[in-house]
Amino acid sequence: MTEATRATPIDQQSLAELIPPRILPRVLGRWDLIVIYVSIIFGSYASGQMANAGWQAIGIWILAYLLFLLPAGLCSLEMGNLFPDEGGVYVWASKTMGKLAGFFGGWLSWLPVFGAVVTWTAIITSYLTTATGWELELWQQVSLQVLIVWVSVGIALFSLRTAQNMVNKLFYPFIFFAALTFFAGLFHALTQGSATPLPNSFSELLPNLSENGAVFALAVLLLLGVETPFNMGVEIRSVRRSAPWMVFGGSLMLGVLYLLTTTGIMMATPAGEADPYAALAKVYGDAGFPWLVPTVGMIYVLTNLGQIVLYQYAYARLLFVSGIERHFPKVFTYLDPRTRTPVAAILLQGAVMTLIVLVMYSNSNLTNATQVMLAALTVVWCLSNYFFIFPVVIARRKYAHLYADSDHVTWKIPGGSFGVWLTVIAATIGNTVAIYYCFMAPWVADMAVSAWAPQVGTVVAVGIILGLAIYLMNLKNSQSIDVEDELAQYAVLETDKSEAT
Amino acid sequence: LIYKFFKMAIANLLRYGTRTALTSVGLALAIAVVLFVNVISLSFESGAAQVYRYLQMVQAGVANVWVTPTTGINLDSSTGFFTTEGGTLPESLADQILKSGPGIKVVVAALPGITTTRPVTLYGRSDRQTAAINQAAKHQLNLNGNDTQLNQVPVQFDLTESLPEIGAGGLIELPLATAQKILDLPAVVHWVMLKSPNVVEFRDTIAQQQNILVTTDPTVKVQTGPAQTGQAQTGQAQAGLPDQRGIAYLLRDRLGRGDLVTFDVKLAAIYFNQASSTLLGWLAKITLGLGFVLMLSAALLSLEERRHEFGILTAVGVSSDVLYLFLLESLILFIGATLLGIGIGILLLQILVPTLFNWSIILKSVVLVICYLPPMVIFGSLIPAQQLLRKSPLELLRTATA
Repeated sequence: MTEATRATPIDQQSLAELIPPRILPRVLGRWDLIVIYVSIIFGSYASGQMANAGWQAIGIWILAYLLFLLPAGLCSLEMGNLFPDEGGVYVWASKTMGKLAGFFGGWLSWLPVFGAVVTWTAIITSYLTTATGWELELWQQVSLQVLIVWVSVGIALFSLRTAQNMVNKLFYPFIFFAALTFFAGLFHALTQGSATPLPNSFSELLPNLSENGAVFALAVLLLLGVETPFNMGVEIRSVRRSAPWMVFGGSLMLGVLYLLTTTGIMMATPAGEADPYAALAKVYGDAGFPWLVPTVGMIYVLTNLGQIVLYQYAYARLLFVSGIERHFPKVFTYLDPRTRTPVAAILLQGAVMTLIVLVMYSNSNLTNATQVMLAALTVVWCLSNYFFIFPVVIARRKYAHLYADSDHVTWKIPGGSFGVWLTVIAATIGNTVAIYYCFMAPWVADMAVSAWAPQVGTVVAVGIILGLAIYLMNLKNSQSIDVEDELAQYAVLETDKSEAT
Repeated sequence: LIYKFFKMAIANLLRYGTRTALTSVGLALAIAVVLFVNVISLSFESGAAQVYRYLQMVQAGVANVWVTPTTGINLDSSTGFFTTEGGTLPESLADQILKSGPGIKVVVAALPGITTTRPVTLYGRSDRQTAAINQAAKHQLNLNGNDTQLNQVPVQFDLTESLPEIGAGGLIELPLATAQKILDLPAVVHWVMLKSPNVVEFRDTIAQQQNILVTTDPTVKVQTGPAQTGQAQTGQAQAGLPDQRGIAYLLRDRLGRGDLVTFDVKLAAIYFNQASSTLLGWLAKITLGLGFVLMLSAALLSLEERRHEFGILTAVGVSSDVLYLFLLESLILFIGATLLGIGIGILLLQILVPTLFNWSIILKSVVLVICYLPPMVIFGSLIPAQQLLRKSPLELLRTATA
């Protein structure tokens, strides 16, 4: 019996719990998970944007880390331990809050991939121009972003193991140069003094949310994605053994990397002057090593590409699982029999991302359109977090019998009910404050809140209504599933588990 | 396996040869229309981009700030040059920025604009006391290479060498005084472009002192009066004060997290979309949609006729590979139609608008048209595949036999 199928008696299991363990091989180990966790969350643009807020960024990082990343990480870890299934948040919310909540948990968690990847493609072009000195024209910018989408789709179509190997290889130079940022900044500080004057007192590091609410929302955005690795639940060799390493080790690595890079940038580049997207490469120029900028720029082009590939295959699993349960058309359950990759789901993501790039550049006010879309998708992503934060409280009651089995639940939030409530309340506060500031602190400086908030709200509402429409359209299909018939259809794809594991 | 599927896909397309040909031609015509409109839009965008780059390179080298009146900048379609609409920069402000800004290295000087009598824009530069006009203006003013006044000042575009599309033939430079005399232009400063070694300092000090709105968004314009559109990035201009004196566009800087792309890409997007948002542009988009629907209906029709084949494939357990078959068929059809469409589009351009026939712009348009290809191929194969999956193998075989 696999980890996943232990959770519930077979007759109570949904197709999302029954089918993936039979047809997907377990290929991800502990190190893979740490790489996935850090790569999904770490944004190479993050430190530059945070550094522009000055030394207060350090306090804001720590606040967002304590108020969001750690509690959200603990919630996802407990849920992943309880239900180590494919589809992560989709299954967790389904099991605890019902099918509708499960669908919306998955849907809201899936939607942001489009904003994330489209932004990431623009960031890659930013690093590319930094490295090469090219100035892209409109048509080059558009076609390059589309090309990056399809290169990432192409790599994501390989088997999970092959694609993950590539991502792992790119992780090492990424970690090395990210950490080196701090030493570049330190060199600048020692030889020429800190570009951003060092804080005179501890109070300068303390966050002031009334002034920097938008920066806090940004910090939360830059820490989103803790639940994503669990989308590939049954492809992990042992969720229960590896996930704690991923959440604790990965979070520690993230915290250290963000603090090192932000501090390094501030010491080499005056606050407010850091490039918001390619600062991690440009910082070497500011620190006195301009000859390093092209090389580091190109390395970040590749590492960012690796991160996009990761997004492609990690999020396609949500669509795949929703397809198995017929909340989406069955075509998205197409699995390549050789690579075991959800081909149709990945291709659909690529097609929609391409359309988003084309539509984005079809808007005369490019900046506003892009930023409204990104802010709305951040809100949507934050909303999806509630679908793995609240379920922890519900699961403790609803599945008390599973918690009583120490073989089944090997890790849970310590401190009993108090620990659970503290964690859930902290994560809820962090998440809610971030949503609030996404609406109330425009990301575009020349837009007033009165114009910004309704636009962001409209995009969020469209996302929710679209999800509801898809759910209702497929409701009949999802309720009329013949489990035996479905299992028979997938029998041809069943893996030899002894070999796969 | 890919080869096997490729052969199968070709065989299937050939089996319904007439339908395949008609679908391809329909789709090709749609693609031709899109290419045609894209070339027109890109010509517009290219013109703007060229002039913008010219301004940057000739006037300011690597200018990073462009200070304009509160009405912002516009591309004048009759001359192909940027203008300021309905206003000039206050002379005192221009003077202050050019001469006394802390940390600002002045590179650019005056820029006379369109005259009311002649639709010609002229860009002047103070360091050489010369001005530039484009070829269209040259023809309008009946200036030619034999003109004595022009011959007195040889064309000197030392900074435009890297811009072959502008080149010495594209613009003419002549002494400022001569130009003003010929064109009867008033010596008014419409805007200034400059290089500030410290953009942040410019943003935080000069802009606030002079009450200038600082932005990286070329669409921002400030209406004077109580109702303001452009809100502040500098604290000073937050209320959109009526006495706001100008807008400073940061050309080489990005503000906060709002700027994914550079200023000139945003600028180009404005002019590209102005052209593609016209009735012609919408017709092209609708035509492309119709082409896609045509292709999709042909695929679904063929699906009905091939039930038996698909029934056998799914019955023997290779249904997972049927998607690849659809993908390949769709890909082959779209590639063929795209190539044909590009050919037809080029032919249409040459016949209908020979003045816009420019291989460089056509190449750019072709690349943009190809960007539409992957989503159409994917949707064009996923939809028939979904239709197929709704039936069980038995159902497929039974209905096919019936």
